[in-house]
Amino acid sequence: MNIKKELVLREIAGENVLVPCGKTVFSDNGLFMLNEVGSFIWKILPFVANEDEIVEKILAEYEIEPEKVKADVDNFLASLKNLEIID
Amino acid sequence: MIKTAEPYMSGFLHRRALEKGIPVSGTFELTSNCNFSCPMCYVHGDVKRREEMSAKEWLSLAGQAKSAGTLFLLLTGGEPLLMKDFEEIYTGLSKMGFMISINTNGSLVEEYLPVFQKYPPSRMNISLYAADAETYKSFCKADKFDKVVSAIEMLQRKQISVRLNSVFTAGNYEKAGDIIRFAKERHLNLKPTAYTYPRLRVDGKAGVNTARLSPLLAARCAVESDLLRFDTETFVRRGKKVIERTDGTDDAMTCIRCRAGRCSYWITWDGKMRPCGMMSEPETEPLQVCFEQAWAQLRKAVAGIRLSPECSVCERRNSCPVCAAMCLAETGSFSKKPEYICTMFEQICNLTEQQLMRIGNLHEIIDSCDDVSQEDFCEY
Repeated sequence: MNIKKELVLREIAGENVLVPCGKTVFSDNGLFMLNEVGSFIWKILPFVANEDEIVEKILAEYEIEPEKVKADVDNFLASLKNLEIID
Repeated sequence: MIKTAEPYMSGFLHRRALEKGIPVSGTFELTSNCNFSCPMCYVHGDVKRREEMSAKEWLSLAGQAKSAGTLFLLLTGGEPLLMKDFEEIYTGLSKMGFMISINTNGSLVEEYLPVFQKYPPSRMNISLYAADAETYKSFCKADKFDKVVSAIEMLQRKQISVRLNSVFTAGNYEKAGDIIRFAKERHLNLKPTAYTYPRLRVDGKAGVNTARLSPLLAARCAVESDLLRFDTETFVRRGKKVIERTDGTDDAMTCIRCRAGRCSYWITWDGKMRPCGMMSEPETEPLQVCFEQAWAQLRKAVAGIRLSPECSVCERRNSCPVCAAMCLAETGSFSKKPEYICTMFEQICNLTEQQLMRIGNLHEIIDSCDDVSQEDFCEY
């Protein structure tokens, strides 16, 4: 999946923080905090073609119910679309 | 899974960094040079011990700071936009993943506008010490008022976040109200202070700054500017906190309680690491050792600082603004009580109490006069 904005995932004081850099700026100078699974998705995002692939990779890595994973991934991708980070 | 982090997240990350001793917040004081000559400046005129650092040196330090956990970076001076390699340093930092703010007098912003458009900073903090061209010129010794106002408007049009910083001193306090109105009319956040640090870094003298207000006048200016800045409800809420008294003793008061040297640091224009820019000591040498080692040494030095035991039993201790930098700048020692601050804050409390009583009385009158509109009594 194509990431349209310049963002860097950084570990700050033990938290996973998505930091806008270069030309990217969000309203109110927003930063984004990701939990462990969110960070995992962010790292694999450039290497997957679709949502199903993301769900598959999460299920291979974590012991979570498939329905819950699907709902969480839907939610996460919708947030990224809202922020125009992905198409 | 994803949580949008508004500015309050800055407070959260600082608290986490404080617990872990991570240098999450840093200031790069790029230069001590300035095209203005404001009378109270704490750094312009600093003794030159070496050449300014190069862009390569700043970017190398920034890389190490990033690895150590720095996220928030403030670029300041002097006037940072005067630095000859500013563009190279700024664009380099912008690409690295910092949240960058810039302290500037605004007079050179227009020249760099294309750079700021391409790489927007988190915020531009523009120093504004007067709201009319004449006072501005006589205060800053620079005929740049119109240029600075134009720069502020350009930044706003480009939707770059702007905050105004102001210091009320002997040369401008009578125009403080104009500065507050200037900010309000333009919907700009204003951070004013009526307290001015002694110029310990420039002339080595603790407790001296000929440009500043007496502690009693600084207190009056602080309370009057709060009355102008805030609506009555906000003033009352803040005021009640200011006048709160606390019994007993708090030994933690003798240690540094702010972020300085605990999760934030300041690199001077000549490459020394200090807890904050208002302190002339302790300092470590990130250019000689590495960033991480300099940070570890600084944390250790800061942990050993003890402030005045008198502050730990003071009933004003929970609302008093006193800090280690103020103690050092006022008395030359961390452990001495800074009389200027005590006098100023006691007077702030007295004047705030008077205002709270006046506002309370007004409300009683209003409550007993049903036919009178509350707005008839509102002075703010």
